[in-house]
Amino acid sequence: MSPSDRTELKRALGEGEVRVTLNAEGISTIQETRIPGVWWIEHRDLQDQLIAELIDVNYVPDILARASGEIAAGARGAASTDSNGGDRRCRTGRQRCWMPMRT
Amino acid sequence: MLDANEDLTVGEMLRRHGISRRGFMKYCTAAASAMALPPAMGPAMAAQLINARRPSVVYLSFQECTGCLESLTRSFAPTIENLIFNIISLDYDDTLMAAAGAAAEAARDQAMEANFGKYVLIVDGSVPTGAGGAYCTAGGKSAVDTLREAAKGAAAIVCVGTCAAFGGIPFADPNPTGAWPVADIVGGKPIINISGCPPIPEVITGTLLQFVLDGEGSGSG
Repeated sequence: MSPSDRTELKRALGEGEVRVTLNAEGISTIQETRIPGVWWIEHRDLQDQLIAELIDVNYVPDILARASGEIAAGARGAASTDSNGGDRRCRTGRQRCWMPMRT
Repeated sequence: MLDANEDLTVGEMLRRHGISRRGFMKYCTAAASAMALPPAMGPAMAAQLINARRPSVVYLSFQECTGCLESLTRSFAPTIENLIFNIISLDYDDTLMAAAGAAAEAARDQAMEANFGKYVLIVDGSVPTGAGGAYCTAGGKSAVDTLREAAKGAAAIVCVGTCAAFGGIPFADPNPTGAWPVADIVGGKPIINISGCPPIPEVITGTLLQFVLDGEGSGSG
């Protein structure tokens, strides 16, 4: 794809509601386009060089979703930081739980 | 790097070095792009590689300028290409390893014996055969003899750079050292020529990734 074609494609797709910045071995930007579920992703390395650019059609780009094992470990870890323990399911490491924030 | 005795999966090695799953997925996406694979292959590659055993790699340097190795390793800060060193077990590379002399040669022999039939042999530089191989010797052994011995137990041979792949500058007329490319000396197993002076680092890492993905590195292929 030529630079002018790329620019035209990016302009045509536009920018939607969601923009995510990911900091993992360099900065990545994940921008939803005006078309729902169509994401424009730019991956950069630690020198800020563009190493990959892609369009992903997905509910959420795979790179953002956590693996299920990480969710269970995260729930246990979050519960251990709160003496209240939050939702009981957090303490058991079950997926999806809530911890009320105290004011 | 050069931790020959550790039998870790790629995922375990990445965690040990503080590289996140997302960082690795990003690397795989970039590698898939460099290999002209569909972007969707990136997450699939990451998922497969995470649980793969790291293949043993023996890296031999002969008549060369070290530019090929520097292409892979040199940068002012860690680059995403350097992640390949978490995916392979670089068991011998006389340029990078701390050991020298008999200890280094022993490490190479040990790695080749322990992983016989499974390791990847990377060669950079052409191989001088003139004067009985005397133009390039290490530990009293000529380059051509070292290559023949190392090739016996290799699952595949990767020739990095134009010198190893096609002879390069040493091979040019009048070729005073009797230099030959690797494929003209050994055979009987897959030989992958990665030309370039130096080669593109993403192409080197992509080739090694393909080897791991094929399952050769885990001994299953």
